[in-house]
Amino acid sequence: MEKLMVYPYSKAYEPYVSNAEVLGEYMVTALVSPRGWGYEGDIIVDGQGNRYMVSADFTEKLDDCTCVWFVADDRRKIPKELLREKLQEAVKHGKKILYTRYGDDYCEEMKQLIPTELYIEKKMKLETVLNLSKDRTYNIDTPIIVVAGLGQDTDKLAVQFILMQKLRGKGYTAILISSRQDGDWKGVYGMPEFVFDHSVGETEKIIKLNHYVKQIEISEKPDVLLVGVPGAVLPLDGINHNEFGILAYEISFAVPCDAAVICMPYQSLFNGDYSQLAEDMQKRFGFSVAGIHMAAVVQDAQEFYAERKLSYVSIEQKVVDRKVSEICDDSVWNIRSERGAEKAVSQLIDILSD
Amino acid sequence: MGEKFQPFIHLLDIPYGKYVFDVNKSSAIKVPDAVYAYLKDMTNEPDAEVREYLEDLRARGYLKEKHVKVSEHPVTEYYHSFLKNNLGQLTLQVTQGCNLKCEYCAYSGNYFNREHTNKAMSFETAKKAIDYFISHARDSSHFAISFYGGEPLLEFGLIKQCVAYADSRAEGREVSYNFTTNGTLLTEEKYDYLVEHNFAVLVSLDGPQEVHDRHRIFAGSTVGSFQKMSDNVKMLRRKYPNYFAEMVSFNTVIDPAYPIKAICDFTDTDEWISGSNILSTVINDVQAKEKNHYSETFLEEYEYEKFKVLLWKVGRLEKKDISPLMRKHFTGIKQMAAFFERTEQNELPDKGHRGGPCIPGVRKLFVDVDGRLFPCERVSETSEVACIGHIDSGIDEKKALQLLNIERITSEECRNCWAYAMCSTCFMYAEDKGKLSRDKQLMECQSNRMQADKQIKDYLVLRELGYSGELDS
Ligand code: SF4
Ligand code: SF4
Repeated sequence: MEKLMVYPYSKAYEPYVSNAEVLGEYMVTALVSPRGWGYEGDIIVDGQGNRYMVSADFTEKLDDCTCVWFVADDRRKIPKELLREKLQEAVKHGKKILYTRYGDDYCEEMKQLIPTELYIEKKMKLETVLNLSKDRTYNIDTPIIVVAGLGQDTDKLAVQFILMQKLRGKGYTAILISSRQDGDWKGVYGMPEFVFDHSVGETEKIIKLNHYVKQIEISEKPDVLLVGVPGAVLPLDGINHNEFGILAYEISFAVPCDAAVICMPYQSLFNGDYSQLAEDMQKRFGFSVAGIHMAAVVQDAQEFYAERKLSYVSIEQKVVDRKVSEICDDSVWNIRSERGAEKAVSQLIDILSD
Repeated sequence: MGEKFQPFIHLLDIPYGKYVFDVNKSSAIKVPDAVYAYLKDMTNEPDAEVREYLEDLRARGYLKEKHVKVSEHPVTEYYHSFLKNNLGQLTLQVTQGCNLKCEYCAYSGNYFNREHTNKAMSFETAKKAIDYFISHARDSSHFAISFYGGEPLLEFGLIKQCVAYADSRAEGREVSYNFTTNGTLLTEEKYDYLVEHNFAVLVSLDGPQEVHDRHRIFAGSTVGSFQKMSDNVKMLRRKYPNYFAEMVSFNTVIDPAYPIKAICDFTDTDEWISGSNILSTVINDVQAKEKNHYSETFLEEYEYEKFKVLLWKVGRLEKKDISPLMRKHFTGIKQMAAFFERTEQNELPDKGHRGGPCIPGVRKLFVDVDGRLFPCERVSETSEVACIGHIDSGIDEKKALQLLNIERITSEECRNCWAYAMCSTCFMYAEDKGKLSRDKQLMECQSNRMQADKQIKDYLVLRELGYSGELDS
């Protein structure tokens, strides 16, 4: 068992702690966040009831781990120098390094600082089981659940993990191709790098992704595949365009979707009627919406009107629970609650069995 | 369409046509004269053509009669989380003292507010405030610390201590620092420090010497501060021209009792401020013991200058024709443009709150020398309602929620007011001797609505002339 420190920890990595099974042979022993991020002292509880306190003391916590996972959160920038300092410190102490900050333009420069014997490439080996033709896509026969979000920070990763675990708990072999580039974990494949690579042409991207999923299907023989869609699926306006949902569009050509779960931020005016959204998803992407997960974040309206920039603020789960029970619709869930997760999964199983 | 039909609208007549501002849709739509005339009095039955037009508007979702039913700010239900996660700016009142005594200063004794004292903030209090900030800002994209006075540079040593502390505690975040100064205490040693820490500096500058020195005089004397301030600022510009261009701006407080032309001419031509960003406001008299006196010459010149700004925005004048002092005098209309150019809403919600108040203690938090907490530095520090807590005990959420939901003191009037969404008053306007006064608030309404009406009209005229807010970056 490798003892794992997650750095720089933020809320975006909480799903790995609360669904620790996905980490396989890794066990979280330390969560360290730069002091200025304000997470110091937070308590995170995993599925088994173990409690982890977020620390700001990297040096002290190094003693508790054998491996440091350098993670990326799009919403929180960390100064390059600080990152370098921590990486060098971990290396100096002979800790193994998992480095998944692929989005930084200095990613390669940082990786150079890691001696080969300490560097862990967190990629599952996919055997080339077929000689796939480069200019066509293939049918994916396994039922697919797509998890997409209407905004950033809408719990997409947590929803993917929870659904996967719940399906496994019911005896299904569920494999996830996650919306993030966090490497490959137990039953979880990260979204491959070429999907985010602007130098790869769109057609090529779609075909490659289709092949990637096909290979996973063949080698894992899952009963169900979950696919997380990176970013947000719809533009809000010309400024907050969410890259116009282009990735969702490409993914929709690469893989079929049997049922989609759409994660949305909390909205106090939402009355449970998402028919317009469902129609939109169907028309644009062929996603048949099975239900909505409401995340415990709200859009900061004042910031939006003042600066036209969309940002989200975390709120308490109980506000969402209250809303979901008020709406009382079988397809509007808070998947982060046990009840919501159970409801969502049984609904999804019903849809897929049909 | 019987007599009882009462669409929630406001009518606007501009030289380019007649408009209906639909409160439910948050949208302004041009209508034929006959429709406008009918909507104006609604006593006679509309003729067939008007009726058809109105039916069409209603089919498109206009002319609803709906009003908000319950006054409640949408943030109310998760205010606690906003407080916990979204603080964006901390303003530290490092001193209550000042080396000048400007007549219109909020602390001059001419306002219902505290007066200048010798009190300074202790480093202990500042540290607590900085720690509070760090632990309450995890979702905020801004992270700024402002130093406020009195004259903050009187406590330059404390400012340096605060910066060192914040830099050490806010690991992983970029902190931006700023302050407003009268400029008289800027020295070479301070320049180096400000440049090193990339401080944004706002210097108070009211115009040419004779205007500036009218109000901005050294405490305990009759000597104006212009010479000292301008010498210091010129030296800073000489020593650090790039920093100066990027980080130094000016704030001009305009006294409406005097003509404005001399100030415009000065900001147009004086070399040491040329190219700088200039903000300007008319003396704020919200909490003043005596209201502003507006001279006729001022009003004429001011309106003329503002009109020139509008002409610039529609391409009839060039930027160079507009005084730098007035270039920022477009914010109100820009806000209108943003309001009208964003997605239309379907109708008013059942529960809602008028525009105006900030979310107290969230985007901004002002900490006075004693550690008392206020929504911002503009509110009266002697007011019981304005004080929303103490740095030792945190925000008193009950009090803060009362300020957030200020509409509740005039609920009936606000829910029936066409300017609901664009209202611009916060509790500061309702504050009367430490209490929230419904009557005082209502006294502001007429001018508030007139201002909204004027700004919509200005915006619509500009729109008719081809102006687009989104192209005006
Ligand atoms: S003036 Fe009023 S609305 Fe504006 S920041 Fe201050 S308290 Fe908030
Ligand atoms: S103008 Fe007066 S009545 Fe209208 S919304 Fe503002 S405070 Fe309320």
